Amino acid sequence: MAKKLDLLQGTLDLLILKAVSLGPLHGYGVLLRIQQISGERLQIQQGSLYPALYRLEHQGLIASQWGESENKRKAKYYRLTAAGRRALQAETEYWDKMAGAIAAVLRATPEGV
Amino acid sequence: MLVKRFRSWLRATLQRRVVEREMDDELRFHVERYAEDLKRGGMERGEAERQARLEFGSVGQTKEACREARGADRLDSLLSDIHYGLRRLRSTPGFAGLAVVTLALGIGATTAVFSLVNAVLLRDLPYRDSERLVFLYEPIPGIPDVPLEAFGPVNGDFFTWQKQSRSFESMAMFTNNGLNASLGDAAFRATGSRVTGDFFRVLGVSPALGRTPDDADTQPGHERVVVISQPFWQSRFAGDRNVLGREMLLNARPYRIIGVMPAGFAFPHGTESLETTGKTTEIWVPWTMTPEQRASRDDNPGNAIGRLRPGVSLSQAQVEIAAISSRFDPPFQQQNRKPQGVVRPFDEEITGGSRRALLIFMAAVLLVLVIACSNVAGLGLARASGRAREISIRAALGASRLRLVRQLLAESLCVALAGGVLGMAAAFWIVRLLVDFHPANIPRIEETSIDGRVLLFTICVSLATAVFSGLFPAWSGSRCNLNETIKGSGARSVRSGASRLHSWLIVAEMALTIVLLIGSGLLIHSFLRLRSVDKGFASFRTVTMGLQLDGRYNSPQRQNEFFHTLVARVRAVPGVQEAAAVDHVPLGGGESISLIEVEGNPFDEKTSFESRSVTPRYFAAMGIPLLAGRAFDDGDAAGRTPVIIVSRSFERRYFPGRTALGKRVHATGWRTIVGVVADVRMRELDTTPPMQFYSPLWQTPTGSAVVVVRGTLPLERTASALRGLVRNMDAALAVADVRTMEQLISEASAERRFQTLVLTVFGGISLFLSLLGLYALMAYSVQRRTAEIGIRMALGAQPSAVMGLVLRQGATLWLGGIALGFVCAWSVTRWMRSLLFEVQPTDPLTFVGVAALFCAVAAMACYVPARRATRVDPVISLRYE
Repeated sequence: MAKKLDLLQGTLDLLILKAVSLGPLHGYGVLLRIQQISGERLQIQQGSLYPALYRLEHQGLIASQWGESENKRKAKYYRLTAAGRRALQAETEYWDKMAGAIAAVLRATPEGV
Repeated sequence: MLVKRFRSWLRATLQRRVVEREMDDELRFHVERYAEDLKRGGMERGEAERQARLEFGSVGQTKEACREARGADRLDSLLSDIHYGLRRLRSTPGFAGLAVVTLALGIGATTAVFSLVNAVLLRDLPYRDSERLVFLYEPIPGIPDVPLEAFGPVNGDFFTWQKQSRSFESMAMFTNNGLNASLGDAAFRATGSRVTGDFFRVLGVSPALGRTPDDADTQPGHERVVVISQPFWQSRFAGDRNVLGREMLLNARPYRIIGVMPAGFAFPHGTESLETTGKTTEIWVPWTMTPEQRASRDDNPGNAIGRLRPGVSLSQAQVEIAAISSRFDPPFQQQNRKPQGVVRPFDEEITGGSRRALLIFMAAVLLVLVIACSNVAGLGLARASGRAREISIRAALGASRLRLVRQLLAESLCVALAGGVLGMAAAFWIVRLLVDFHPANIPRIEETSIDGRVLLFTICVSLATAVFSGLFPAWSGSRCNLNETIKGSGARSVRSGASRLHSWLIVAEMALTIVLLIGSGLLIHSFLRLRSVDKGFASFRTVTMGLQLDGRYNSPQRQNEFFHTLVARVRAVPGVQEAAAVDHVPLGGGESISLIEVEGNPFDEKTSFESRSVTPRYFAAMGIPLLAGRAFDDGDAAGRTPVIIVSRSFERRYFPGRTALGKRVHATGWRTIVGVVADVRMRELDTTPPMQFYSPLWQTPTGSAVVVVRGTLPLERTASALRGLVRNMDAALAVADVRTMEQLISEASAERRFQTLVLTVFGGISLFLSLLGLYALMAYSVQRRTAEIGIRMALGAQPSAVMGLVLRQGATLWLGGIALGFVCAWSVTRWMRSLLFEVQPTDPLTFVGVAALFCAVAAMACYVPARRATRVDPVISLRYE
């Protein structure tokens, strides 16, 4: 297994928003989906997931509902709200710009300066 | 967004149990699913569950973080902290009770003093836009020792100001008088004020009934009308609404009542800066002036107030008034000096000199509060180190340091709030006590009450108290070495950081107490000095009462005749030994100051003299020693050789080493000095009397005098005898201000007595508190050192040595406190110089006395724990751990 990457500060919220934007998920599902999409490369502290979920719900970016899980058990499902969709879009753009800018800086060569 | 957050917070708060259960379910679901996945991956069941739990981390911490994320945390955890805190406090009722009572004392005293400050200094005066009100004065430069307030403008200049200035919306003049009032039966004295037409408009007060006077009412020849105060209306007319139009006699002339002022309106009496007799004005009379009187620049019978136009500042008004005044002609006596105009803020004139005393009270009471807080902090420190194990366990279970501090603070919040509630109750009681004590010279003090601002203040003080008294223990308590404490070796260390902090707290507390004690000691010393000061007169068995003749006695002969007959008749009353009359009795509130020329010396306008007009037996009746020459006698009548009697310091200043007898003085004509008497403290007890002189009343007649009676009769008998005599002579005259000289002396020292009492009470409270703190520290330290003491005793230490050990430790603390307190007191007591009398701010006697007192009681506070130390049983103490 490849060495797992620790999450950058503040990126967990973005990942959660992205994960639930693809369809309602319960907490464990969010964890699995992020790991799955990232190709098992991102390391998420399981305990830190829930405070983040609660915070996002408190901010109104995601909403929760109790439902039934794949194995017929009661589970709490999260889905993206309209506000969450806007936030995800804004955050994604911001991330792209930031990543682009940082990548540009890191690509710099003596000749280019 | 905000609404959503609020709803989420509300749900989290209100449906706490549901939310908690859901959270449990959710987290459990996660762990179980993970375990299942691990099992599916080939792990053994038990191992999978263990692994899942391990990877998830602390469920408790996660839940705590979730609660925090929901926003429910703040109130929620506060509530649970408080709940837990209360439970902890209940388990140690001794600590809780002591802490609550200590804080209640501090908060109660602080609240009480603040409510005084609030009533006297902060609360708006009961006048519309009172910040726009000002006093106006016209001082004559170069006259020393005369307060600004004595310089009301002369009539002519006032009306010029009124006409020419643009800064003022309105201006008015007023006087303070006693009035002989009568409603048909016996005459009585009422406090009155003559007011010009705009008086009520300046103050912005409307009558409760009827109308206030207007300009027409001040025209000569117009019908005489008056406005009365609400209390006067209640007491004299039983609140009858038909009072309007009723007639009353004032100074033997009929007046018609046209209005009743609202309750609480009592200006100008009770104003700190004005010489007034009585605290409230009862009757306002329109001030009728002839055109000549309006233009007069010879005397200044009244004071002036004004209302600034909106947007005009005090300094703008000051500039304008000064400019107008600079165009006035100089006053007649002082051709080389220009008159001035001075504008002063109204509220400062009302409360005057009490500001300083009140601020000193406030500072003192805040010291008491700080002492109370550090006491509770000390108790908390001792308690926190006793709880080290409990706290370490909580920390080991995942409580963050902030969480621990918050939890410990919640406990002190409980204590402080309980102290606040109890303190509020105490404040009610203290305020009642203070106002009942009735410090004569603090205006508006009777308005003191607990209002919204005081309530807010108390709440803030309680919260601040919680932080101050809780932060130290919480911070030091939450700093724990997990390993050490849980292993159990933590408690064995004899001295830890916490107990050093505790010692410092107690030393600082004792130092503050020393400062307070020295402050009150200086005041007590001053007060004792004042009590024994040579007043220049003998107060024993002397009764005084005021009489004011009215316009019917319009010639010097009639005035003289009246007082001559009255004094003769009073002297004939059985039991009366001496009787006399004087224009102003010592300490009675009136003052008369003169500029005179002494033969052989150039006229000096910078030297003023206190002057009195007296009848022949005055010095005997007042017990003023005659040092040389003779007293006045009936031969010193009007039309005879003008004579004068001077004070000892007068003689020493102008005739050093010689006699003043036979020399002449120019005061309303040349007068020959026939006697020398002792210096008398006439105005105040605590100021050295200026030079004084007396003229015979018969040669300087007056319409207003105080009768002085010395005799064997009690006060009431003397008063009723005199009332009867006056009634027989003229039923329209009223006897006022019947008081013994002892009462006048007591009134003259009332303010000082009040200050001394208040500071002494504060000093006493803080002494009690800091000794309690010292006791608690020593008791705690003995308890901590039980093992050490046990070992010492097992090795053969004598009880006396053990006691010495403890006492030495205590003595180091209290001597440190005294030393530190001396240094602080040395640097701060000079701020109270103005409150002291014949005592230096660094008075060694007071310093030493306070130190001795403190040592004695501190030794007692340490003795009890020291005794307990000697009773330590080595066997038990070594097993104690």
